[in-house]
Amino acid sequence: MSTRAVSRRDLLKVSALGAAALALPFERVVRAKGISRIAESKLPKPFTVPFVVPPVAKPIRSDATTDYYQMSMRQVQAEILPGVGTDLFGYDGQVPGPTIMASQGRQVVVRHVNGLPAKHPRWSYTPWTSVHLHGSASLPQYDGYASDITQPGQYKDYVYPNMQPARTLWYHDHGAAHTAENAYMGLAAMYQLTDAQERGLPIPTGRYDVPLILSDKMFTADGQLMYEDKSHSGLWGDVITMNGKPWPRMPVERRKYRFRILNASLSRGFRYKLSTGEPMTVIATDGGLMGAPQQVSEIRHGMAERYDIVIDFAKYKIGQRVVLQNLGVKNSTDYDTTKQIMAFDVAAEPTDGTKNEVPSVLNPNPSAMGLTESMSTATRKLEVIRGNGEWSVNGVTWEQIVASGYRKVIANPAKDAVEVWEITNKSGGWFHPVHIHLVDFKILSRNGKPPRPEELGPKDVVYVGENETVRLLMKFEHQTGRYMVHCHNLPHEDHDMMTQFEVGTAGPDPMTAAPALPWTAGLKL
Amino acid sequence: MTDRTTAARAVVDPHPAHPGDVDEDGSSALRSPVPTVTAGLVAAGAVTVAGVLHLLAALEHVQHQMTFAVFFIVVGLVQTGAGAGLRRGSTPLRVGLGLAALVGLVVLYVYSRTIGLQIGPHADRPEDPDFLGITVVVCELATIAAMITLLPDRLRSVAGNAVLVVGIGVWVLWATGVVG
Repeated sequence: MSTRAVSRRDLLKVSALGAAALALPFERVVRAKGISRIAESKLPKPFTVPFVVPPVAKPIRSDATTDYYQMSMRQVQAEILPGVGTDLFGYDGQVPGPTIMASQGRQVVVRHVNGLPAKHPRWSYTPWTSVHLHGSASLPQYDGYASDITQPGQYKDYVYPNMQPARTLWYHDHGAAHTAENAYMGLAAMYQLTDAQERGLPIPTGRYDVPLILSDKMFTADGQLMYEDKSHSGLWGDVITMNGKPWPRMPVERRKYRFRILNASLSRGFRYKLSTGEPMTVIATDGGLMGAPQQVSEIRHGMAERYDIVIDFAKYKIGQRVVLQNLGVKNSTDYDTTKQIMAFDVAAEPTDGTKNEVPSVLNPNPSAMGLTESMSTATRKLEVIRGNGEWSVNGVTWEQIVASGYRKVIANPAKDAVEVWEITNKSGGWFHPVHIHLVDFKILSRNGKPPRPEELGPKDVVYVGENETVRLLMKFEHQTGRYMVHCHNLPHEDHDMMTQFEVGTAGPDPMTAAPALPWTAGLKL
Repeated sequence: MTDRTTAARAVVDPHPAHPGDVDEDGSSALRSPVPTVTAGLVAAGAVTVAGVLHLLAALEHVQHQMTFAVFFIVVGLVQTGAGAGLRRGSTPLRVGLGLAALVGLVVLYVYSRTIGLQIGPHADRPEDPDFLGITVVVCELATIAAMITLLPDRLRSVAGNAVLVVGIGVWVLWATGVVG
């Protein structure tokens, strides 16, 4: 063993290499204005790309009770950035996928064919899928149970009862371990459920009722989607897309519009504000219309939440531009490019003056919001945790659910039971939008304080902020069986912050009741 | 300071410093030895830690990128083996080869974090610096510094200069926009 000394000269000689190794990687990160590797010249200037509305799906047939749809998930090349072809996965080959319009009381059946390649072309995983209609009280076997997967070359028919009140839903991939990649590649779309109560209101409808699907992306040098989730902490892209277009510009008339905003980002939370400083009116949340509209100057929007807002452009002059800005939320990585979302250009006088109001009462019978804590028969505590490099709920991961033969549950409420669930996030390093399948819930409090004004409606996702305990009140109605509860930061969900609860004891088995089948072209629905 | 460091070397360093290490008046701090004495022990310890961390990194990669996992396992085993070897003593040839390999690994790290490897899960982009990677590189740099002193005087100077040239080379590549 040598006992020679290290001289300062030796250290100085090594320090050139040492400084390079320690400083240059950080220099690259700090210098970067964004995370994309594509040339800045390939990114459009904000508000130069026209706004588009996703297409509406057409049923292949209808009968007295049901509308039938068929969609093939396909890999396509499309332009997100102007002039740049990007490989995407789309329902029916479209990104975002086609919007399904449904009415309360009328069933919808969707045949989803997995026509995706056997391996992802760049990320080399098998893109199995499981389609979740988010916001629907579907039977367990049609709920997109994560392990009830459809392999490439298979199909599955999903049955949606549509017995719930009007609401903005969305369907997206939920396949175990690859939900994030599949949703990021484009497997997400809207589903609008209406009812007589909503149709009777004087709120904007038709072309003044506009879906807004928000998502952030990052791009490789050759224009492909880049996936960097920072060791499963989250993916924060530097290109903001609305309905698949980057920072679009939408011409509007001088009247009220209803915007159904879905945050379909994997990990990015938003905080909206209008550049004019004018308030926005929130009329609906995840589970449908609020009891009364709420005027707010800012909206905090976690992943998978839906907020329906009304903006009144009548107060602006023709030619004026109103920008929907993003003030950002804690623990979402922001760039210069993520501070703006889209622009509304006030372009014309209204061509239709009907359905141009927001009444003071929107929904006299909001079921979840009518619950009171005195109805509750149990209080359950859930903690969202990171430990040993894995995300979990109460220390339980989806891997453990799988290992238990899908029997392990963290709660077993009786059918129609009312319960309080307390969700705690002790970390200051990240927030978790927690989604409870099947139910609508009422947010009772955040760290003992009232919820935010935009949260005063029925919800199915709750933003559990840093160092927060959120109390929720819910009724386990409509179905029995096993349903998932998980974080909707999708890299968290995939690794492995997802578990399940069981309503009652005799529900259908989501793994065996309606498994995927081999697809043969021409198979009739 | 001169008195203290000279005294320290007198006690712990049985090898004479190579000519020119200390000015005749003994005043140059740059040429005074650091009072770290057991270079072999430092090198053995640091490279063993780097090896163990590489093995841990292999576990992280095993599920999604077997090529990387195998690479990390090989590097981890070689480094932990080298740590054991250094504790028993080594030859200048082995030390020289070890130095070259370690400098290569550090350069590979810089490449992966600034330009990006063209394979694996980060094929389309450079990786961000992370705690584990930084810790490994710090261990490897400590090993390099300590291993240089294990060489005979003439080779020690050559090896030190070679590491310096590589370091300056990386900075030149950065300044000219090739790296970063």
